[in-house]
Amino acid sequence: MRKVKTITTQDHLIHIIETDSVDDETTCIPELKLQEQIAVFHLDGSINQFTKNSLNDDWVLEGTVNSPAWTFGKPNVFVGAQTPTSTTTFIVFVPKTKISSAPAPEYVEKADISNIDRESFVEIGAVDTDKKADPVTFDEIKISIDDLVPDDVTFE
Amino acid sequence: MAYARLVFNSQTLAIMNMVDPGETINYDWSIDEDYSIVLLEGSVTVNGNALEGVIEHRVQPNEQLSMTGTGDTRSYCISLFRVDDDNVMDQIVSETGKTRMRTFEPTWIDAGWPSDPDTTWGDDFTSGNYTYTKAIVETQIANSEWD
Repeated sequence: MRKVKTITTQDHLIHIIETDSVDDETTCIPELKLQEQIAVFHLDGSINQFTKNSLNDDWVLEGTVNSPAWTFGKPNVFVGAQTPTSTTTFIVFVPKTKISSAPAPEYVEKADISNIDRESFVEIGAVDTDKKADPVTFDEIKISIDDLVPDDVTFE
Repeated sequence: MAYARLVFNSQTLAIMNMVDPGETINYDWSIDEDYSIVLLEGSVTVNGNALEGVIEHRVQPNEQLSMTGTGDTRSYCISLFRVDDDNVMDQIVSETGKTRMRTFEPTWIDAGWPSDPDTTWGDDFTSGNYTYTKAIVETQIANSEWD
């Protein structure tokens, strides 16, 4: 499962993303495309990075980022990421001056960030999502009821 | 000793701080406006204020940061600054350091991430207190070991 929490600081919006199992998809929104470079710090675990130039292209596995590492999200391409490790934590730093050009979870877009007092600390929102992606193709892995039910449970 | 290490790009200077319970990181510098620190994990006391993660705290103007780990586990905290803010940057780094942050591109800039990052930061952590000086800040910017 991917957990995303967003907080404001004095000059930044921070997204804290945590996952708790292998093959979790970490991208906040589908068809994620950055307009500008975004700074990310990887605290724990690893991430497989995927890109594609247009929506109809296949995803290309670009490589694996191992923590701790400071990375920059590539602009002008579609980006995706999933987890080869059982736990991951990474932080996305968005300067408040760049919020309008940075994709974000829906609750951020609904919040009026510009009117939040610089002196206030606010937790903008949080969301949990259970979505899996293949570590080679980034195709969605459908989670079936069989995957969720323990093997020793039977239905009569 | 507890440890602090920075990363940066042309917009953001982020100082990563690690403390074990009972250990203290002190900054021997301050700036004339408040700035944010974000406790990501663990529990600390910052200038007399008890914090538990995840939470943000404002270090007050002209106040030197003093952070002590409490609780049972290691705590991780990030101090955040805007690199494009001349007033703030001029109080922390030299003109050389400021210019480097605003113009530096890592060797992996085209890829977006390092293919072989230094993952041994935890090895730099030893028990004891730590003073994070401006000289250390300057050196870490010059070396950009996260490249």
